[in-house]
Amino acid sequence: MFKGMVGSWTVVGIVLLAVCLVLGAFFGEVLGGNALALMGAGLAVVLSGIGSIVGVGVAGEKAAGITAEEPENFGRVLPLQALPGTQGIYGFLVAFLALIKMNAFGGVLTLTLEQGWQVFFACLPAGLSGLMSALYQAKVSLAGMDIAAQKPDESGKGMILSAMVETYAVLGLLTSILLIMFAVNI
Amino acid sequence: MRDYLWASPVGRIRTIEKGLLTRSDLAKVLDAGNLEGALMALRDSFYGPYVSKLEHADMFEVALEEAVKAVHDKVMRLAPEPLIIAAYRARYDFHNLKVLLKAEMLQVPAEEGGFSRLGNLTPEELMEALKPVRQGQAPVAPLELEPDSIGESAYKVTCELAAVYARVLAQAEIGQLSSFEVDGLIDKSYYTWAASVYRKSGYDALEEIIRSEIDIINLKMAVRANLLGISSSDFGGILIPGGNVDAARLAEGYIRGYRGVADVYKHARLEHLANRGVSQAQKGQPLTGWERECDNAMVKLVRQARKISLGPEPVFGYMFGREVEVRNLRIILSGKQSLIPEHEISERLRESYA
Repeated sequence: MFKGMVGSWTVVGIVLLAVCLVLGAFFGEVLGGNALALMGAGLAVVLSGIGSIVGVGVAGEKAAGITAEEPENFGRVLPLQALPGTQGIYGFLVAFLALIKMNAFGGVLTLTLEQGWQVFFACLPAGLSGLMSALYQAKVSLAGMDIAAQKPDESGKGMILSAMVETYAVLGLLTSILLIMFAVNI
Repeated sequence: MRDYLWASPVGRIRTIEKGLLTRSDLAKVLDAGNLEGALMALRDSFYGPYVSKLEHADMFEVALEEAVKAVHDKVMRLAPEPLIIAAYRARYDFHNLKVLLKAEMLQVPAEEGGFSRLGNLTPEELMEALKPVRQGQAPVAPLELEPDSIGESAYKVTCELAAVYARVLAQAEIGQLSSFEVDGLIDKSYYTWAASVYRKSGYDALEEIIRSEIDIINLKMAVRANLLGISSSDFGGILIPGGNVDAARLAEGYIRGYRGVADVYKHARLEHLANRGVSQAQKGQPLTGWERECDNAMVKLVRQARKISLGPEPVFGYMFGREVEVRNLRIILSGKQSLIPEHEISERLRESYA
């Protein structure tokens, strides 16, 4: 299950999350609510960012391979490469909203431990769904590029298939936004 | 398993493999009135540059070999893990080793025409690399060996060839080895090594391909050996381990004759093929049609690689696909050369990868 590109980066994501959870659980009192909240915001960016970096990177390599043989296919493979990149933006958006909620731009942070954990967990849906969906979307994009390389006229279908995975990244984003806006008690 | 490294090569291969000959392309070659016409039909294909260089149509074999060599070289250059491709190509090196060993045992010079030039080493390089082995030394390592380079994979193949060479020589010293036994020993060594390379690589599809290939080879050998009345001890000696069907079970089944062989393959992927082969052999019918079915089973299996979008499998599949294509072209062109009717040539053709 944890083989290959998706498997190994999923493990990296899980390890990162586990480290943060352990840090929070055992050193939460020392770190304080502010640190926990910032860790959550950071995780949203880092997890979804990892997915997007790996996804766009691998898809870009394959796109380059196809373009090297048939440069006219560049326009067809470019959107497929870009699709796994959106999760990174969603992660950034969630982190930005969390920082606003924490009043990070307005002055001194004064979050309790409970509030810190609330922000931490509110950021997770976007981070985790971003990581997984970006990796799997990259896989679908890679398969979509096969369509673009072999049947260029049908490349739109590959894009639709890849865009389907986006749904779950969007759901993760919306959940995090709703949690930050309405569930976090600051 | 570093499938992400293969993204760019797979992209390139996906585009290149559009040039594989389809059934209708092959039909055009087959429909040509004579050998010259068949070669003419290939001019606009991947084979064009190789065919157009020919001074005489009868020399088509040279063009086909050059084309396969060009495919191998290109794939090797593209591969980020060249050992995976080198392990496949090594079957030609091991073939050359057979030629060399048999010639040495008969104390005659090796026949130039018996060598294949499709391996990782040229026959000359192979002979040079084996020189130190005769004095009990390891092959000379290149001065610089970059990890995951073509040089490193060629060296690994050389070391394996040297080890097999030394092993066969040692066995030959103990007792006279027949040509059949030399073939068996070398085939066994090659497939055992290649299977271990693919197992270590972590690519499940490649491992399955080599395991199934071993199953098919063992099945072919079991049916043929039964037909030739080879003893169970001799047969057990040439069986290749590492397939999905346990070689020891097959050796036991072989003792019980054809039915025993078919029983071993019961519930396995090749059950249908085993039953067909056994029933044809029992009826005393020629096995050529069945052997074609075995080849087709292999093509169908490797064709699964087309569904994989990241990893070495599509690259491997393309290389294999070209080889199958060349085999079909060889059947057509040599058929045309021998003035065999089209329908007879057509019956001999293997399924294509495209």
